[in-house]
Parts: sequence; C-alpha cells; structure tokens
Amino acid sequence: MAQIQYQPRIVYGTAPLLQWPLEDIFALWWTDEVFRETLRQTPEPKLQPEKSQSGGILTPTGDDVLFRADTQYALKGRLRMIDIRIQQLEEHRKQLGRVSLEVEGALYRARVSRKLMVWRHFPIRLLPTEILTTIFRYIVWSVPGPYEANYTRLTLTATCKRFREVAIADQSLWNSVWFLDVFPWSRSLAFLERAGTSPLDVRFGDKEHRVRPGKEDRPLTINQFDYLLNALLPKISQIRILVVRFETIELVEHFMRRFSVAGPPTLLERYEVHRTSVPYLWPLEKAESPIRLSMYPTPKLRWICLDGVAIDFANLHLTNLQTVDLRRMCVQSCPTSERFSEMLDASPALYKLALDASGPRWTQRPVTGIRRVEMPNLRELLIGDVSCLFSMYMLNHIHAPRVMALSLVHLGGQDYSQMLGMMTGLFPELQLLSIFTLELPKSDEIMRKAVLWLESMPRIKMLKIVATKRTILDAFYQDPTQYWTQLRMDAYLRSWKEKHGDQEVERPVLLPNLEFLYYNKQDAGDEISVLTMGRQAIGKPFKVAYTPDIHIKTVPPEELEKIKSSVGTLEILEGMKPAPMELDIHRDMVGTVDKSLQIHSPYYLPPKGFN
Amino acid sequence: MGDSNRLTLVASDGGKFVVDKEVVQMSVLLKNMIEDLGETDESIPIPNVTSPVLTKVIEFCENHRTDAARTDGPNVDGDDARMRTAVVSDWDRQFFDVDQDLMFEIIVAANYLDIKSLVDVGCKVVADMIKGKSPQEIRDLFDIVNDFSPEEEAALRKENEWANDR
Repeated sequence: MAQIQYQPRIVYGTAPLLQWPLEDIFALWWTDEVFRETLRQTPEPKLQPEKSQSGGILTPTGDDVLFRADTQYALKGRLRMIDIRIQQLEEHRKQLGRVSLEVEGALYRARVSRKLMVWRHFPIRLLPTEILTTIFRYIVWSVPGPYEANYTRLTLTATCKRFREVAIADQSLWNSVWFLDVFPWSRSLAFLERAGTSPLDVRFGDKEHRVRPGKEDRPLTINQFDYLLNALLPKISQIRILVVRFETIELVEHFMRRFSVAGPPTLLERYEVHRTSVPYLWPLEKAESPIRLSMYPTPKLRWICLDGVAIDFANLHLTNLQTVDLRRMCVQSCPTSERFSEMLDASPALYKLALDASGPRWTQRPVTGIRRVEMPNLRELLIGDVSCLFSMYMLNHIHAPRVMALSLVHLGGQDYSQMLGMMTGLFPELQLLSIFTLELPKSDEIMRKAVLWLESMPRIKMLKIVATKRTILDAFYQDPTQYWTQLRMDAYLRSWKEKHGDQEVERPVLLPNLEFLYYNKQDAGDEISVLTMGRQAIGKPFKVAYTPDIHIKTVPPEELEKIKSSVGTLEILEGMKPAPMELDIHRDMVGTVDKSLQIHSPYYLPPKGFN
Repeated sequence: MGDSNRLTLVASDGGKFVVDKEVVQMSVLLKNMIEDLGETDESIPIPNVTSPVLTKVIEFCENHRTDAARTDGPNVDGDDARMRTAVVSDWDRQFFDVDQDLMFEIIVAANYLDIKSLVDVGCKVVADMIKGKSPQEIRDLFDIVNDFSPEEEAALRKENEWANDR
C-alpha cells in the first residue's frame, strides 16, 4: 500500500468518529485512533458468575485461574492461529503484487483482533499496587496540559474500584492542582485534599487555558477568593510551585498580602505572579507600599517571575536564583541598581534573565559607574520594551559571555543602534538570536554597527524574526569587510598571505553558521524573501525556514515562491509550536552549564525526536 | 574454580542460566546477594521466576548493560522529570511484543528482582495503552467489569462534570 503520512498522537477525551478512508484505516491499524474505533464496537464487559472480586476468573477452589495451564493453552492456541492467518495473508499479498482491499481488510481484522485479545487478557488489576501506581504516574505525569491532567486523573478513578483505590492512595498523582474551575472550586479542592502532605504545584487563573464554552466566568470577589485561600494557605509549607494570574490589582494585592504572612514557604521553588489587566505598568502609587514575597525565608526559591506586579525587593530573602523574569513594572517599583546587583551576586546559577519593561531602577547617573556581576551560567537573556539608554544601563549590570539565546523584544520608537554597538563582542557564544521588533533608522553608519554586532556572534545557528523591519533584515547578508577599518582589512590581508601565499583572497561570510530561520508576521515591504534570497546570494542559504501555519495563509503566492526557491526546506509549524532546531539549541544550552548547580531549563524540553 | 565474572541463576522450574555478573547486577536484589555471598561458585536460585521469563529478563539486561543510567546512579532529576521524558525505544517496544501472560510475568519479575529500567519500560508500555482513553474504553480494553455500585456511579457522574474544567 502507498505510504501514508501519519504523526502519532493521543486524543484525550471522547475520540472523534474516525472518518479515514478504508485503506488508511487498514494501513494504520496499529494507531491509537484505529484501536479506539475497535474498542467502540466492543461489547461492554459483563460480570460473570464465576469471576472473582478482583476481576480474575475463579477456580472451584477460589484461586485466580488466569495463568492456569489449560486457560493459557487455549488462549495461546487462539493467538497462534491468528499469527498463522496473518502470515498466510502477508504471503498472499506478496504473491498478488497489487493492492487488494479484501486482503488488506482481512489482514487488518486479524491484526486488530490479535492486539485486542492480548490486551483483554492482560490482567492489569492483578498487578502489584506499586506497579499499578507507577503505570498511573506515567500516564498522569506525561500529559501535555492541565485539561488532559484533570481528565486523565478523573478517568483513572472512574474505571473500576481497584483503579480508584490505587489512584486515590497515591498523593503524588494529585499534587499538581490547576484551579481552572470556578467558585467553590469543588474539583480543585478535592484534588488538593487527595494530594495530602505531598509537595504542591499550584496554578491559579491560568488564562491561557480558561476556555469554558457557553459558561461565562463571573468576576471573582474577595470573599470567594478568601474561601479558596483559607483552604490553600494552611498548606503553604508544601507549596513547591506557585503560578497565579489575576485580572485586577485588588486580587493580586490581596493574594500577595495573605501569602506573605501565611507561614514559612519552606519548599517554594517557583513564585510566579501575573497581573493581566491594564494599566500596562504597575501603577506608581502602588510602588510606595511594596508587599514582601514572604515574611519568612524562602531557602529553596529558584525561580521568580513578576508580571505587572512588584514585590518589596529590598526585603527579599536572597537565594541562588536560576530564573529571574521581571515584566511591566513602573520604575519606582523596580529593585535599585545595588539591590539588583545583590540579587545577581547571590545567584551564580542564574540561567535565564528576562527584563521586559523592567530592570534595575533607572537613576539618570552615567552608565559607566555600575559594577558588572559575573554571570557564568547565564544562557538566556531577554531585553524588552525599554529605551535604548535603559537597555544599555541594564547591560552594564552583567558580564555574561556565555549567553547562547538572546531575545530583543519590542524595541521601537527610537534608534537602538547604540545598544547594538555596546553589545558588539559581548555574546561570542550566541546560537539563537530572536528579534521581535527592533527599530533602526536607515544609514550607512547604523548598518555598520549592525553588521559588526552580528559579526561578533559567529556561532549563531538560528534566527527568529517577527515583525521586523527591512533595515535589520538587510544587515544579515552584507559583506562585513565593507564595514571594516583599513587597519583591520590590512591585518586580515597580511594574515591571509601568511597562511595561503598568493591564493586569491577569500572574503569572510557574515554568520557562517546561520542555517535556520523562523519568521512570523512580516508585513508587506519587509518581506522575508529579501533575507532568504540575500543569504542565498552570499552562498549561505538557510537550510530550513520555519513559519507558523497561521502566518503562511497571509503570504502572497509569489512571495512564497521566492522563499521556497531560496531556502533548503520550508517547514510549516502548527500554531505556536517551537521549531525543532530551537528545542535542540535549548537542549544543548542545558548541557553547557555546571552540573553541580543542578540547573534545569525553564522549559519542558521533550526528548529529541518527540518535538 | 569457575569464571569469577560469571554466575549461574536457577529458575523456579530448575532451568539454569550462566550469565555475566555485570549483566546480573542490573538487578538490585541480585547485586546485593552477590555482595553478601562474596566470591563463590554457588548458583543463585530465583524461586519466583520461570525459565521463559528469566530468559526474557536476561535478554533485556544484556541489551541494556551499557546504559548510562544504572540502578546505583543518583536520580538527579527525580521521578517526575524521568516520567515526563521517558520514551520507549523501538527495541524495548519490540521486546514487550509478547503474549499477555509473559508480559505480565516479566513486569512482576522485574519488580521482584528490582530492575528499575525493566519495570519502567513495562509500565510505560501499559501506560501508553491507557493514555487518553475514557473509563469505558479502558474497561473494554482490559475486559474490566464496571464494579461501582449505583450510589458510587452517581457520585462519579458528579465528579465527571469536573472533566470539563479547562
């Protein structure tokens, strides 16, 4: 049969009716979708008088006979007969030399019935409890998201009494609690209770997953919220991960104040608070009475993310942080320059630093008077939504030569070329450069700065471009020697002559390792084909260009043709899924840090090949 | 005196298996026994494991003898990370493509012998069969009778409404 493109997947919840053509069903008999179709047509198991309480079959003496020789013999006999049938059909297919739906259908039926027979006789309920527990953990802990996590746990408890007992007895199956339900949070609080004394990973108001068809959420009141906090906060010493998102300042402050005094968060590793509403920045008047993260020490805190909120940085218990992610704070709420440096000093394990409309408090003093903190493990740096001068002020606080992923986000409204000039030579090990809007006026001098900046990062493998102007795109295919000083050019020529004698001089290529491109939301006039064709013209075309499916629909056909003809492969990504190469770079990055610090990537990185 | 790098395992049905000590030491139970016994020519009886099952267990250990993750190594990332990322290799999946009784007995034997990697692979294969499926589908798959009482069923129906939380 013809090869069918198929990406293995698991559908959580009610499986949709399979509407594949027959030949696809026959060829993909081994997939979960086809098997579930078969299960749909299987009669529901009924209690037989001779069955034991555990579901096994009883002998007259009351023993389970699943492994009794005659039962096994009969079953094995049936399986061998199916095996012979499969073998015969495969032979027949070979002899036919053509596709016969009749033969394929018979093969499909034999294979599926074999698979069904094996699993229907697998005595899962007789497995020792510790093994069944391990199986359940594999199921629950590998789900892709909160909906699937809830669904899976409920499924296990609704299958049969044995499954329910085993699942509920294992506290660690319940300790990830996503408060996706509404007041009075019956489900989440039941899960919280089942989690018992195990470490808790709590997520509340996760906007990204709050899709409730036909059911509008009413705004949460403080009284309702207190009902929840009264149940949650007595367990504060168990909370390991805390991710909360609130719409209003009142709820944010109420939560933060209660959390602050609730008791020692001794296990807390991650504290992440987002305020989603306007005003965009944390209001100035709130800066005067900052709330402490906790009145008690937080010895295990490794990850702090504050988005549209601020804490009392002066009284933060300093720990060796791995992720610092500060977003949208008014200047007065930001940590002072000294305090910011102290936080960094206390965090030699810092792996990710994201400063988006936030950073060390700006104080109009000359940027040269600041102490740079050595950051040997910093691999990811994000600078976003700040002025050019502020970005340079931030950069003056760190010395992080091993940064491998740099993101420049929403740097618009002014000329940022000075920042590029300052960054030249700072990140020689960079592999992933992401630019989501960066503004540069058009001039020879600015192009020179941009090219020299890029030239100082020769290891860049992948470029991510979103809504970026032509002036930046043009820089990626320039001849760098055009921007060299005469002195540098002379030195290069001398060195060439020493090494290669009278051979014709080869000009160095800008970003010789750049082979992967991701692009999205490029407007007319800033077409990405300018970049892909430019790289092709200098003999360094992109091997792979990735773009999301939503963007590809907006690209005119002629532009698409230009892109396709100037890159090795154009890969369309589903939704906002990351490109495989991006995940590879993140995996490599994790491997470059000092293992004794036990640094983990801020992202969940699926194993290679399972992107 | 026999080869000091090899030893003999005796299955419950009397079957004898001469294997490398390095291979056997993937089992925490056997590793401890060997350490307790010291240098000896004595065979080690495995009373709970039959010859066909022991054959498969040894096959697995021999195939995985060079794996970096050994039973005595520290589990730095913890169970959680391991379970989120563990993937069954083609070889392992093929290894478990056996009849249901053998599959069951291999998992139970691996648990008894304390061979973590084999228990994990077996559990993962079973887990993959359950993932995503509804309670009814799981019951159909394993031929499990719904043994909840009508009262319990009513409570479950209420709990099932929680599944719509997104």
